[in-house]
Amino acid sequence: MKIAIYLLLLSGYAGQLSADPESDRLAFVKFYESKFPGIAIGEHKDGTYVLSKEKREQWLEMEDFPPYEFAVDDGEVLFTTQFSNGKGYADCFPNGSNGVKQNYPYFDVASRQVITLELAINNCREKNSEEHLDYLSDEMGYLTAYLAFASRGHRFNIKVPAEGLGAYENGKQFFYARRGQLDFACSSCHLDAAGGKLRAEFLSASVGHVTHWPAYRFKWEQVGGLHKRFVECNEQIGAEGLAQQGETYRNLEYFLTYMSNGMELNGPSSRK
Amino acid sequence: MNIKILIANICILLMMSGCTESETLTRELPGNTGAINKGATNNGAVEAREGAAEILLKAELVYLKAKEKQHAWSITTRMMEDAEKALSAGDEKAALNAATRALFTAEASLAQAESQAIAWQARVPQ
Repeated sequence: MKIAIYLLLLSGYAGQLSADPESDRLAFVKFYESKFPGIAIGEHKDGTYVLSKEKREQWLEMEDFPPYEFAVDDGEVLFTTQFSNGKGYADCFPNGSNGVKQNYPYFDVASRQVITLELAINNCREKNSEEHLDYLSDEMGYLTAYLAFASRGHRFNIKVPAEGLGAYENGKQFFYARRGQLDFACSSCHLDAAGGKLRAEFLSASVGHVTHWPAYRFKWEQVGGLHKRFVECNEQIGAEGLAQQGETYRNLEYFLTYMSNGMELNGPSSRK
Repeated sequence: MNIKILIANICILLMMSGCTESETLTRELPGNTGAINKGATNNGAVEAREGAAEILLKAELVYLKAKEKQHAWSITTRMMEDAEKALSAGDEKAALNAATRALFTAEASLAQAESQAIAWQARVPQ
């Protein structure tokens, strides 16, 4: 009897500690389906613009002359320009013009880390004796905008191998842990309070958060990556932002992308 | 059932429910900092006999611990910078004030890191 009670308690506690990623994703999706019964889960790819008819109309008008258009064009030029050794990005991303972003991030078993598209671009450059691009540079924004554009319509199908579970769990913990002077977790705004308002803006759902990056943000006046937004979010709640493309943010992206598995890519995008 | 075993089982149950208690208290109010302030102490910061430089040193050490856990707060850095500037300017009163605030916020951020090491689990949709 005693042993049975102990085992029961321990199994319940262990269950809280780690569920498998697919169970997590199903519960995540179910949460938003319950919260937004009138919105099909795939529609959250448009982020906050699925939550308000008026804001959506404004956004669609902006998309008539998308502010990221030049970034996509410039990114294509960069992508097709040869390195000094005669090779190019196409040697690293053979499907570049036919969709590549849907395969990122992935867990690289050999190096035991999450590889994002930005990291893969710099790995490609390093392999070809080129200097790394700054993750906040226009060039990185252009390249990722082009690759995102070429990947539109594809769907995420991120895998979490046994070796990648630690990275996945790390990203998951970051998402749900409160931090900063305001004591907010990512989930405070984008799960618990999703659909609510912060001043004049609606808080978007986290499901679909990763589908539309990079984004041209009017306050940035440039195309920027998801990690730049992570830093901004963290700083807005009074926490110190972490390194762009550092391990923690890559793990967070890995977790978030897995949560959006099956959703359509629609980047790059424009945001206020 | 042996009374000791019964007590032990009750203790385990209380410990486990304790893991989620602070979350339950703060769940409805995302901005509620009660859980943090509960863990933070202000006693080290208000010992008037200590000089600003000593308090600032303490703040830096606690800040580094919070930073290692990726829970550092931006206000702590600002307060530490203010304290350093005031010290350089020879303004002991302003330095003491800023260093005290730096230590307080650093302790709060570390308390947050420690509580969130477990509390985050209660927020995962089931």
